[in-house]
Amino acid sequence: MDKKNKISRKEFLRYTWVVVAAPFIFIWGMSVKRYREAGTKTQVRIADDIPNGISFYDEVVISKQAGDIKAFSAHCTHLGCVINNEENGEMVCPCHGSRFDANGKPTKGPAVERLRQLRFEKQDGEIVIEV
Amino acid sequence: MADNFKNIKSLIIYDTYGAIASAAFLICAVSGIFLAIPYDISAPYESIGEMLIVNPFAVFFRNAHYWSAQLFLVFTLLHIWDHLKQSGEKKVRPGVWLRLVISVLVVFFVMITGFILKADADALQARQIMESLIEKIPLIGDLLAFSLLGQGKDLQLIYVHHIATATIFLIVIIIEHSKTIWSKGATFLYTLLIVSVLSFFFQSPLHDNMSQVMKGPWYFVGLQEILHWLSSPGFSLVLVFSILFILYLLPRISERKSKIFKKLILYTFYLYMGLTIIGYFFRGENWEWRTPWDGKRTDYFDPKPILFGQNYFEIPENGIPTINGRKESCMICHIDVEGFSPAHNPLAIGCVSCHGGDSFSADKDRAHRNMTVIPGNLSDSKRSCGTTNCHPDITERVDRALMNTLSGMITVDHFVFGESDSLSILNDVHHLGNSAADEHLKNLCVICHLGNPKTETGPITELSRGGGCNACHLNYNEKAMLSHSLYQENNGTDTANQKIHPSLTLQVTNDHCFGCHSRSGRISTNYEGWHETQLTADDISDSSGFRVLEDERVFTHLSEDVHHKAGLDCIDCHNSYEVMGDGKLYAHEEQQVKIKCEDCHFDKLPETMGFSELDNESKLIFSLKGWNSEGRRFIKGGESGIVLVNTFVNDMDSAFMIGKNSGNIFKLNAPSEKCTHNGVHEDVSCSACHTAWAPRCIGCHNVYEPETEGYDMFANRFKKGTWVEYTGEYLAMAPTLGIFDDETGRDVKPAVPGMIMTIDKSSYENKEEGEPFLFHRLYAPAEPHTIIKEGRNCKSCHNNPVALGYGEGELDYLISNQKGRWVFNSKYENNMIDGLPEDAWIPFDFSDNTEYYKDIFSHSTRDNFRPFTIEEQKRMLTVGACLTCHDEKSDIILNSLIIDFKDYLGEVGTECVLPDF
Repeated sequence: MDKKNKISRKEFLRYTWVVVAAPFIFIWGMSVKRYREAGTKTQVRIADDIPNGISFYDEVVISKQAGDIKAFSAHCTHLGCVINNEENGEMVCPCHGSRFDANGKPTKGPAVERLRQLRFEKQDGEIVIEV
Repeated sequence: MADNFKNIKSLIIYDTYGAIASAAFLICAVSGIFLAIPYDISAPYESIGEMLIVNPFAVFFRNAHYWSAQLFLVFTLLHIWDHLKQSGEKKVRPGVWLRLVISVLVVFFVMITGFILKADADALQARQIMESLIEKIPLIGDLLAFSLLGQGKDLQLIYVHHIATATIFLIVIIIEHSKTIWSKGATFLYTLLIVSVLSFFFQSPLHDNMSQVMKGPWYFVGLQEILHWLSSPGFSLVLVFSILFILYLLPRISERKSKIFKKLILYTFYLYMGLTIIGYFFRGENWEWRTPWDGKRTDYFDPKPILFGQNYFEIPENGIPTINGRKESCMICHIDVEGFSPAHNPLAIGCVSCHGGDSFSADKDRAHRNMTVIPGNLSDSKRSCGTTNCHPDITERVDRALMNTLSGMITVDHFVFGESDSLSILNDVHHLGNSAADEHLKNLCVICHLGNPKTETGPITELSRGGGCNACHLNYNEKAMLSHSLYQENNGTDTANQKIHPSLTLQVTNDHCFGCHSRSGRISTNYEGWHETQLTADDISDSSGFRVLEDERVFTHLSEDVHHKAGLDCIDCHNSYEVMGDGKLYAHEEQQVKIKCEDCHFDKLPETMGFSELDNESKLIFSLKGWNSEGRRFIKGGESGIVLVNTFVNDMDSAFMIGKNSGNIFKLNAPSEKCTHNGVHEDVSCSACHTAWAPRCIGCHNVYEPETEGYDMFANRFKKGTWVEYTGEYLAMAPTLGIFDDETGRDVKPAVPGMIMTIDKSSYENKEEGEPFLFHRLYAPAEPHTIIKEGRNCKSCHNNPVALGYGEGELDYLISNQKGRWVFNSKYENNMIDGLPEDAWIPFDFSDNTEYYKDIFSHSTRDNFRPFTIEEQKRMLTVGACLTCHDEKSDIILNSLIIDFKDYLGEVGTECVLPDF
């Protein structure tokens, strides 16, 4: 072998570490992936007597305007803080002050994306929301 | 001098930074072991709360853990900088240096996981932010976030990483770096002493989960400020990793470049500290700007020494109750307090949710610090009644409601003072300045705004003004009154004596409304049949027929409203959306109040709604009242579209009203046939005919007296100099009529002399000395609330100078030479300024060139309310002329209601003499 192309013992060990670590990282990744896949989806059930305006239910925000109900994730689209406050008809994120209108549209930054709208259906006097 | 400085420095920096950091780390690790005993990872926030209340010894370990961690962080950073200053990075092997750089991240990780483990509102939000930020790392972000923080609100994985993964890593790094984990005995003891002193005096923070102020740990408040400015928060990671990368590169680059980078790091640090100070002191609720001196928060450096030696209270048999996921120490002393309405049971909502204070302290003084004795004032309603889980939508509405803004009152006052041209603009009492009108309002008018705080305990009385939610909902029963008396006997110092709490209920009685609504339009007193006089209590030798209010005004009894006589309360007609507002801003009362007489008194069944169609608020009222909804339909308000929740229609289509307070059932009567049988009077509102009397005051003079002591009704303080009102007579009679006239139609309504007044504006700070008095003759639309079953007779309008607007006097129809003419002799002298009788609204003058009618809408307190035009007066007086000969029940008059009146007049005989105008 050409002397120039020879790798040192130290370099060999370094590459060996990468080769050894790679399958472990793969196994770690797969383990987490399978664990998350095995998890069940959460449903939030709220009695179907939502007041007009904006109401907060832990991870979910319900906006009811003229009888039209919309469900949103309460997590701010900026950094995921849970929104639990309303001011002047707007939802306000307590962490960095982002504001969203009743349709989940940001009216003041730093958030620039709409709140994630959630699907729901009415069942036996309840609103069932997939979170 | 230099020696002294060195001595002082050696006291503070008693060893190398690294050694102090190591000692702090050891104390932190050991105190953490002891803290783990009372800490419960399945209920972290509750377990810390309980610790704070019942276990001052565990609190010491918690504080020691906290303060040693802060010292560890500070001295680790100083240690790093010390190394960099001395170019120490050059002396470290590359592998070790890499691990040291990584350990900086681990130090912050162990700190933030400790912060998150307290599981309060701040911590849970910080966890979300951490997760979102880590997820933004390309390729492995998602995996890393899940592996470090776990899922959802479960903190188990974070706990493991905090006490094991990160801690072990740091131990390894410390040993590799300094060859030992132990610090010198003296250094350890000195550090322990500092930690102990700090731990004794300053409590590790825990959010009360009530305040909306959310802040990260102090070392990340600067990052929070940066994130506030970043719509793409991933860039903050670039900043963090850039600094770490620069650190990693330092041993590998030239000395010159190294110096530049170190300066860069230093300036970045200074900038970050600046942002930290801004974030910590100048950011409030919703991360909005505030100042530390605005008085809302005073606990920046609030010492809370541990009370080891206190006399221990007896812990209740069932432990300290958990309320809304929080342990509340209040229950230790106040567990036996009764009197609450079921919805406000403290076992459901706690004490702190209304009263604030420190629910994590069993020490009375500390628990009561910053407590709100009387919650529910609008200034604190968002933190009490209006918190997220209670009534946030209602407090939002009340903020905008007229009882809080007083828009109409202010708009009209600005208009009469010449400070505004419009009577339709929105105003708010909270924006009053120092103009002549604003000062006039503050001296004479605005005390009733709902935001005026209730400052003394006790029931709502005739003297109460404002009070926020309490104004309507606070109720003291007999037991509560007795308990309150005992409390007052103790000078209000020992709340434990007050065993019966007043209740907050839907029992809104007429007495709640009385304080404010017995003034100005005086609808509360009118409704009960009381008319204000200018007598004093001393003037009445025989008090029968009189009523002396608590404010010593004397009222005489006339006739009560027919609804009062039947037993109806104010809230039986006025629903929650018009009392507390519907969320919209209104300029005047008649816009916010949408209930109509016709909603209950109809000849054809109006639109109804089933129970399932009711809005949530109406359903809640319904259920709290315990009414039966079976087989019932509810009447929908014609104008508001909101259900009249206390009405119902049965299977037989009969309509009823339930008394909201009394529970009595009232049959809703159809209007008389007279009211509906033809369209002649379709523009005439019910109250125009059915109002028995309305209070009138004829003329007042307003002058500013700089030497007289006055009262600022908004600031609630006495002050020198005040506007004074000198009033004329107080009268009561069937009201004048005016017309709401706009694109929506015409509506004849009662009108009262709202503002026949002079204002000596030049008297106000002598700013406009020499100017003539301002004079106004404005009538105001009114609903006097003195309804009688029988309406006014025909003459009461058509032949009545007061109804027509000429004022009191003799209105006669004279016929001579087959010519008829109306003649009016006023009771009052003509005013010197406009030449009209003092109490008149319009002149008795039918000539076409009368200036007064050129802008007919300029004579009232509304842009769309006016007196009768000349043509309308002529028509009314023509009927009036007929009535001088023909009885109103005669066929001639009754037929005139069926046939077109103009055609009818064409058929009259020669013996009829019609008026010549």
